[in-house]
Amino acid sequence: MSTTRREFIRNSALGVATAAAGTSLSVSATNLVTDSAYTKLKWSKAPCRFCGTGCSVNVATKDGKVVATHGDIKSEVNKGLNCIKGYFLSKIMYGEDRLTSPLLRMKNGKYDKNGDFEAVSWEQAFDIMEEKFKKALKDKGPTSVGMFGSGQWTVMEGYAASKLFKAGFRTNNLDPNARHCMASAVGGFMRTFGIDEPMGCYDDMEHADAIVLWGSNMAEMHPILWTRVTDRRLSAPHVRVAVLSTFRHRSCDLADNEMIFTPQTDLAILNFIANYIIENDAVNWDFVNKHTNFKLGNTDIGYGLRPENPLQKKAKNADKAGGSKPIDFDTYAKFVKDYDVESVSELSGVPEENLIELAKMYADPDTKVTSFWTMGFNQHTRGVWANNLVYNIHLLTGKISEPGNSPFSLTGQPSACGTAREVGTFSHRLPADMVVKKKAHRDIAEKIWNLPEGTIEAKPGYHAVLQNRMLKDGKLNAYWVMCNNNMQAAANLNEETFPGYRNPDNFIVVSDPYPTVTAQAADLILPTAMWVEKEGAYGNAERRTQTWYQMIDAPGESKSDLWQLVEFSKRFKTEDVWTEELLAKKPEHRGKTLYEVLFTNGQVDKFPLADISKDHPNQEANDFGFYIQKGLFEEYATFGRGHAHDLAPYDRYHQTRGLRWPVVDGKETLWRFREGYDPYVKAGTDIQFYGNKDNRANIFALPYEPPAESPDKEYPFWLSTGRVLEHWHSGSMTQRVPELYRAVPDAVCYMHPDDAKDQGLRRGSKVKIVSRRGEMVTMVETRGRNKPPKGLIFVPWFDASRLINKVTLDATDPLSKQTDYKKCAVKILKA
Amino acid sequence: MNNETHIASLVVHYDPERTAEISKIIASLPGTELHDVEAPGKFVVLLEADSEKLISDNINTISVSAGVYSASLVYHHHEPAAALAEEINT
Repeated sequence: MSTTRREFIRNSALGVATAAAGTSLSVSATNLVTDSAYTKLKWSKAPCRFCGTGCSVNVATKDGKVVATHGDIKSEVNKGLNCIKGYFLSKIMYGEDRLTSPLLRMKNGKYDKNGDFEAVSWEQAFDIMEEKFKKALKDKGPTSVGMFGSGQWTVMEGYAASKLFKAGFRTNNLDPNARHCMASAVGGFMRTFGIDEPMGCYDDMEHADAIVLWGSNMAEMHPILWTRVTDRRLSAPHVRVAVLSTFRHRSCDLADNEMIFTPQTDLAILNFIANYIIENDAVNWDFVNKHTNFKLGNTDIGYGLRPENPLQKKAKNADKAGGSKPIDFDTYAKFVKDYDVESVSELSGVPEENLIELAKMYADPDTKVTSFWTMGFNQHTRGVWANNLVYNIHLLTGKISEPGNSPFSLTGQPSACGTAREVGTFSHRLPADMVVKKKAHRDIAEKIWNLPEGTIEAKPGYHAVLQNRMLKDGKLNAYWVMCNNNMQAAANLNEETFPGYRNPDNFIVVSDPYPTVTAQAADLILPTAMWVEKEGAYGNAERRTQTWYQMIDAPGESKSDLWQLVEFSKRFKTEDVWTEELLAKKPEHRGKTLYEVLFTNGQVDKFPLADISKDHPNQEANDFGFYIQKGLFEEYATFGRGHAHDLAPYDRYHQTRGLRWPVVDGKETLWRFREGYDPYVKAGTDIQFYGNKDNRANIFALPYEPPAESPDKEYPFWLSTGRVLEHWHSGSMTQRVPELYRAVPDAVCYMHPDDAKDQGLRRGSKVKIVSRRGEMVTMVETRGRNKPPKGLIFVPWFDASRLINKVTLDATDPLSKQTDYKKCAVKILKA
Repeated sequence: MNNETHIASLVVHYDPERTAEISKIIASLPGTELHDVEAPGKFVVLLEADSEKLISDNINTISVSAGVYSASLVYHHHEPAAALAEEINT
C-alpha cells in the first residue's frame, strides 16, 4: 500500500497517544513507530534531559540529527507520556547560538581577564587552564582550586570529576548545583534514617488513598507524575488530594484541601499534625516502640550567612547546628503540645478546619498517605528540619516503606540522585553515602582507587554558597564550572557571585553548550556536547538508574564533560599535585600523569572498544581507546555493591528502562527497609532502618523558628522565587527555543490584585523590585496562573534578562548549606 | 526553522463534567484533531502545524484551559515539509 511519510507519521502519533492513554488500540503502536524500514528513522531509548522524574523517551535520528521523540510506552515511569518540556527535547541541541569552539578572553593575542572572547583551539584552552591551575596549586595549595558541578552530569562525569578533584588535585572544593535543590533532602534522610534517598517509589501514587503536596507545584514542575496523581484521583473516587503552598498555583485545581500558609509556618503545621496524632491516640505504638528513637535537636542555629552578619553572631548554636540529645516519648509529646490548632492556625493563616482535615488523613490508620515535597521544604533555612518533621508524622503512624504509605522527596534535576548524591560529588561526600571526614570512608575510597593512604583530605571543601564567597575573598582562584548556570542560579549575585567571578585574582572556566550568563562572566568557555551527543547514565528520584547511547555527533569542536575532565587530567603529573610524603607511599605512581593513575588504572580501562555498541557512535571511547563509560560505571559500582546501594552490571541498563537500586540477584527494590520488599532486611524483623546502627529511625523534636528575613515597614512584601511550566530552571536550554520563549517571555511579578491597586499599579505596570541587596525591573501580572495571597509576590528565575537573584538573600540552612530562595523581604516601586 | 512541519500527539486529562466546553476549545484550534477515547476524562489530540510557535501555542492553550488537569505530549516529529510529502510503501 502506498502512503506519504506525513500520513504514516500522523498515524504513528495517534497510535502511540492512544496506547499511552491506556485505551484500546487499533494497531500495535509500538511496532508501528519502531518499524524504521518505512520512515528511515533510527530509534533509540534515552531518559529525558530535563527534570528528576526520569521519563524514558524514544529518540529518532535521521541524517545525523534528532527529528522526533515520543514517550516510551515500555517505561514504568511515564508509560508513554511526556511533558511540554519534553516536547522540545529534540530541539534543545539546535539553538542558533550553540557554541562550537573554545573561547578565551584575549587582548593582543594573549589571555587577558579584561579582553574579549576569541576562538581558540582545545590545545590553547587547556594550556592556559593548566597554567592557572598549576599556579594556584603551587602558590596556595589544593584549597585554591575547585569545581562547581551538576545534577545534570552523567553518573560517569560526576564520578570522573570526583576522582580528578578529590584524589588528583586533593581538594574537596567540589560541589554540585544540586546543593541548591537537594541538600536539605539529603540532610533529612541522613539525620532520620542514616542513609540517603526515598524508601518508596512512584508506584506509591497508585496505592495511596491520600496525596499531600508540601511545597511542590507538581502540576507544573513534574507534569508526568502529576498526571499519575490525577489518574489516581479521578479513577478512585475515595482518594483525596491536599496541597500546601505559600501561593495558589495549578496543583491547587485538583486539591480537595487547599492550604495557603504564611512562609516558614510549615514547621508549625508539621508539629501540629504530630500533636494531633498523639492527642487523638493515633500513635502506632508497636511500630514506634520497635523501630524509632526520639531526639531533641539543637535550636537557634543561625542562617548560614557570613560569620560577621549580626544574625549569625546572635545565634547560640551556629557552630553546633547538627547537635541533638536523646529524649523519651513523653518529652517529645510535651514539646509538640504547644502546637495546638488555634495557635498554629493563627500563625500560619490556614483555617482550623483545613488543618484538622489534613491531620486526620495522617492519623487515620486506614488511610494510606503519600507526601510529596520539593523546593518548598528544601530551599528553606530550616530545610533539614522540615524534612525531619515530615518523617516524624509518617513514623509516629508507621506509614512508611509500604505501597501507598510514603514520605517522598522529589528532585528537580535528571541525576541529582544518581550523580550528585549517589556518586557523592558534594564537598563533604564520597560515593555510596560515605563522607570525607571519616577515616574509614577515605580508606575505602583510596583502596578502590589504588591511591596512597591519606590522598583524600579529611576537611570538607567549600560548598556552593561558600565557593562564591571564597572567590570574592580571593581564596579560591582556579575554578571550573560545568553543566550549570550558577551566575543566574545563585542567590545574591550582586554582592557575591559576580564580584567573585570577576575578581582579578581568579581564573574562571565554564563548560556549556550555550553562552549562558555564567559563561559570559567566565574567562574561558569550553563548548560542550549534550544529552544524546554522548553516552551516559542518570539516576532519578525513585532510585532508578537509566543509561543511553550516543546517537549523534556534537557540533563543531564540542566535547562532552567526560572527555574534558579526563583529557585535562593528562596535563598533570603526580609530582605536580601530590606531596613527597604521599608519593613515597606508592612509588609506582611517581612520574605518572593523573590520567594514568586515575583513568588507565587497570579498572577504568578494563573494557575494550570491542564492547561498545556496534550501532552507535562513542566519541570518548574511540578517543581514549577503551570503553570508558562502562569502566567508570563498573569501578564506581564497587562502592555500593554489598552495601545496600547495589547497581546491576552496566550492560543490563542498556536493555531495560532502568532499575531501582539496590539491585540484588538481578532484582530491583521497590520499597526499602521492609521485610519482603528489601533484601537487606533480615527475616523476622519486619522493619529495619539499617542506615542507623540500631536499625531505628529518629523522630526529632524541632521547633518553629522565624526566617532570616521577614517583611517589615520598609520592605513590606515576601518574595518567593521558583519555576514555571514552560521553562526548565535557568532557561539555558528552553530559552533557545524561540517559541517557548515567547510563550512566557519575561519573568513577571505575580501579585495579588489588591496589593497592586494599593500601590497604584495594574496588570502590565512596570515595577522595580527592591531588596536590601539589589533590584530588578519587570512587569506586574495579577491574572496569571500563579495567584499569591496579599503580602507576597512570586517571580520565576528562568529569565536571563531579568535576574531575580540580584534581589534574593543568600541565607542557607546551617545544616544542609542549601539556599532559601523562597523567603526574603522586598518593596515594590513604580519603574 | 522555515518550511518545517511539526506533527505531535497529546493525551489530555480533564474534568469529565466539562467535556463539552473543553472539546469545543480544542476543536477550535487550528490543525488539531480531537479523538475521543473510551475513558472518561481523557482525550487524545493530534496536532499538525507548519511552525513550532503554532504547535507550542496550541499545547499551551490546551494545558492552561480551565478544567484541564494536564496535557501530556506523547509524540513529536519535525522535518522539512518536502521530506514528509515523500511516498512510501507499507
